[in-house]
Amino acid sequence: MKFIHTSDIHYGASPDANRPWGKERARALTETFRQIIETCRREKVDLLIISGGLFDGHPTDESVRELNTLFASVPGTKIYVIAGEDDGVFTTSPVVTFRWAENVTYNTDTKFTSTYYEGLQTEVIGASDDKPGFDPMRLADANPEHPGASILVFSASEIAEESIPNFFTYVALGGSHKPYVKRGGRLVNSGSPEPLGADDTGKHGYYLGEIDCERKKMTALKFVTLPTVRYITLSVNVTPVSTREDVLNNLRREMSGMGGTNIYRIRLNGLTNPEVSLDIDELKYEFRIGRIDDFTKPDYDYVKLFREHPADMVGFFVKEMNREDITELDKKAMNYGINALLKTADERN
Amino acid sequence: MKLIDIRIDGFGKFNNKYISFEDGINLVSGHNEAGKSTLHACIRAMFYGMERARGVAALTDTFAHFKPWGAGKYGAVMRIEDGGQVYSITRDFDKDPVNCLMYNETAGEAVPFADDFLQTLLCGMTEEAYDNTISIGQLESTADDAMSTELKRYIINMDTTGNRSLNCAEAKKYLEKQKIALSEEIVPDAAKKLNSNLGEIRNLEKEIENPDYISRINELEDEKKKVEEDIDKKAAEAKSIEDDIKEKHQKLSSEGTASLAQAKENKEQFARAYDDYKTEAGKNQVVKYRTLYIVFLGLALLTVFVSAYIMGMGKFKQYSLLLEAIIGVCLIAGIIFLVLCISSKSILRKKTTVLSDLLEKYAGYDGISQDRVERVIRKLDDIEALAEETESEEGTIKVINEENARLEQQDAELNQNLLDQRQTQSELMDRIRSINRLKAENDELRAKIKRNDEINTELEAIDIASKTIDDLAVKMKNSLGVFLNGQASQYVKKITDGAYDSISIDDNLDVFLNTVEKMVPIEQLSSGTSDQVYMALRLAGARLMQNGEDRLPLIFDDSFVNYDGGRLTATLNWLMEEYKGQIIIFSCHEREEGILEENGKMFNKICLE
Repeated sequence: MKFIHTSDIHYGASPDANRPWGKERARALTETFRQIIETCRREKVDLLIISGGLFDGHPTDESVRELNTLFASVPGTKIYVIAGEDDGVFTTSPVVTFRWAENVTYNTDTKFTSTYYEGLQTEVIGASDDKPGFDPMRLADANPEHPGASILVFSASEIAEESIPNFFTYVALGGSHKPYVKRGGRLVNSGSPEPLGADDTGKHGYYLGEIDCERKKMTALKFVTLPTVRYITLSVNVTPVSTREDVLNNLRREMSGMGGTNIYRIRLNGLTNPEVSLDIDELKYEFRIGRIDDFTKPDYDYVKLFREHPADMVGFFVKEMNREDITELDKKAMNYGINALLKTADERN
Repeated sequence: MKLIDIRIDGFGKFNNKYISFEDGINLVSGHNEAGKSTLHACIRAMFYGMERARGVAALTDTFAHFKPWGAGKYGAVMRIEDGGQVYSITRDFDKDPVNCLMYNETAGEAVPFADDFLQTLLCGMTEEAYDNTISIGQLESTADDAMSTELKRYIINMDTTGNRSLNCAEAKKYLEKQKIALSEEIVPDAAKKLNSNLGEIRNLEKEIENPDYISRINELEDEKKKVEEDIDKKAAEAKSIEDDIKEKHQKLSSEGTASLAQAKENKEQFARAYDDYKTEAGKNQVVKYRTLYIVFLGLALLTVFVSAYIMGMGKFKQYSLLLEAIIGVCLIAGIIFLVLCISSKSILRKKTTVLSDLLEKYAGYDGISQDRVERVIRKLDDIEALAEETESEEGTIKVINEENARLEQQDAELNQNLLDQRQTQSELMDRIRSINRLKAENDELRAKIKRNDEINTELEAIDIASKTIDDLAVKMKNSLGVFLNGQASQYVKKITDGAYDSISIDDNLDVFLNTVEKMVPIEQLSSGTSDQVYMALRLAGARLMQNGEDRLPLIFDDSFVNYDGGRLTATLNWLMEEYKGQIIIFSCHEREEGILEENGKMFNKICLE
């Protein structure tokens, strides 16, 4: 039995909506999901499991209809869906009252229920969420009753592996934007097929697997990555001799090398020469920069400063920096004071 | 601390030069180019090292200026005495322009952390403080008010340790500018908006749980479908019946009947006609009346003949009246019966016509016969039956139509319900969309709030820095006040021979010399007095830095070049009386020498040639 496992699609979402690449990301999200459906048709996939997060937030009847049409276009694939934390079910939700296409099972029950696909000799036991947080006690209701393979489906962003029963052929988890695999491929949190925001660095894709239903064993599991834009964090360590040109060129090289369509977050660390500005904002016009975090600290030669100003304001500030119990806030204040005094020293003469 | 000697390996023009100093006054004399400033600079460099400038400035900084040409050493060894110990300070400026080596000759051991130790010997005095207190340059500039400006500047910028830092308005303005720039990045009310959004989300989420929002559209649509199917079915039924009725109507009307009532009437009419005919024919009245009238007319005629015979015969005349009566009666009866016969005949003929008309109408003209009559009766029966069927069918149609009307109404109700449901669902979707929108907005707001917090931390730090500057300035100003009121005033009083009691500074940083009666702004002092005050201040400053002691040597570098003899005398006298530490005077004149000798003062003369 061939299956695809994916989750946290957030169909219709617009990540980075107010950035220049916002529209492209929104399109990519829907396009990628359509491609997964297309793969189901092309590869004659028997079962598509979506373990939560299909919709972006609460579903509207419009989005429900759109997805149903998509699902109905692959009648040869059985589609099993549950709702996760973010797109949770509520009694009046359109997913509850909607008449899904014949090949779709949208399980809105928060108690674990069983769906048996006789033709596939596979039993799927799953439950939806109606509020944040997953109580492992709910798993007590999840017990396979039919012959053949058994698949457990639910959404939990954080759960202890030990609390998940071990007797399932495959456990399909959702609720995490990043994928992980445990139990040698029998427990998978698929992660979203497309990165949804700056924190979703790393690879994204879906899982394609095969199960021998007679023997109730997994025979194959493949992580299929899709060509897509990535969110990448670059850390730059600057020193007091770093020049703006150095830093800029370094970054340009790195970003060109990794790909100009990726979306970057830049972190500047280290010590800077207080006289020199490391303003790298112009990169925003050449690459896709999500944000620039400047964690650098000015490199004052405190020893020298103290020698030159042992007992005036500057000296006093420097003495404070050496106090043992100084707080981060006070440290910041002292740097501001020293910077201001030194920068305006000329005017005082 | 006092200087013992200095051996210069290489510094400026000096190469392998040895100079020794004594306690008390040392007079270093020589022409203008002899190297007094070089020596002074060297002493200073031995105390403080030579900080190199960065970049291009390194070509012309002090280090470069005094670096000897040629390959020789660039450095010196200076020996000092402090607290009973003799130390030597060695510097090789080429190797290390900043740090020095110290050796305690008395104890016979090297001094660890030489630079720090030297600093303590210098009472923690920085280069700047050194320049402002114990190292004194030329006094009395040519312009009068320049001195008072200099005095004022000196006082304002001096703190208890000789460094400048009282007027920090610029620094504070800088901080304020930074604060404004950062404040502009703050998103106001972000937290408030977040909270109000959360409240709205909570309300909306409660609202959408309302069971009224559960969509009944599916059931309603199913029902509607059923109703419409029924309607269609019934309509089809009705149509087929109607078609049938139409057919029947056509048939009926081709038989000249439009309704059951009419069919019945026709039947009755025929039956009546036939009955009438039958009855009438049965009555046979025509024959009867004919017979009768023939009889009577015949009788009348006979009687007429009889009467005429009688008349002819002339007998029986008595019977002529009777016979006339008989003729009359018979005539009348005969005529009556003739009339009756004619009318009966016409009645019969009429009835026959009626019947045969009807017969002709229903069965074509072929005469009246029992067989045909029966055929017609059968036909009329059939027509009646047909008309009856038709009517019953029309009744059925009515029922069906009524039912359909009811179903249509049901359909309309269902439509209305569906509209209502769609309206409700659209409301639900609006709320759902609002929730989604608010949640997305909240994500953005959270990021903005985080940024706001970061900015607020920075602003807090700036505030702390600003306040610290304020606090310090106050402290320093206060201690300046103390300084001026204390030591400085004492010196001013002494050096002006009691002409003034004290020196003070007001909030505008204006400086005054005060007597019991008045406060004289320093701009109004004579240049001579200004000089003295200046000297007094520096001395007071130096003393203050040394905690009231005269530990460090005073170095006068061409200070008295503009003094006249009298003032020079007074100043030197005052100096010698006041200052107990080592005094080194660089001068290119011999006047100082003369005065010292006159006063019988011991001094050490050093010639630089």
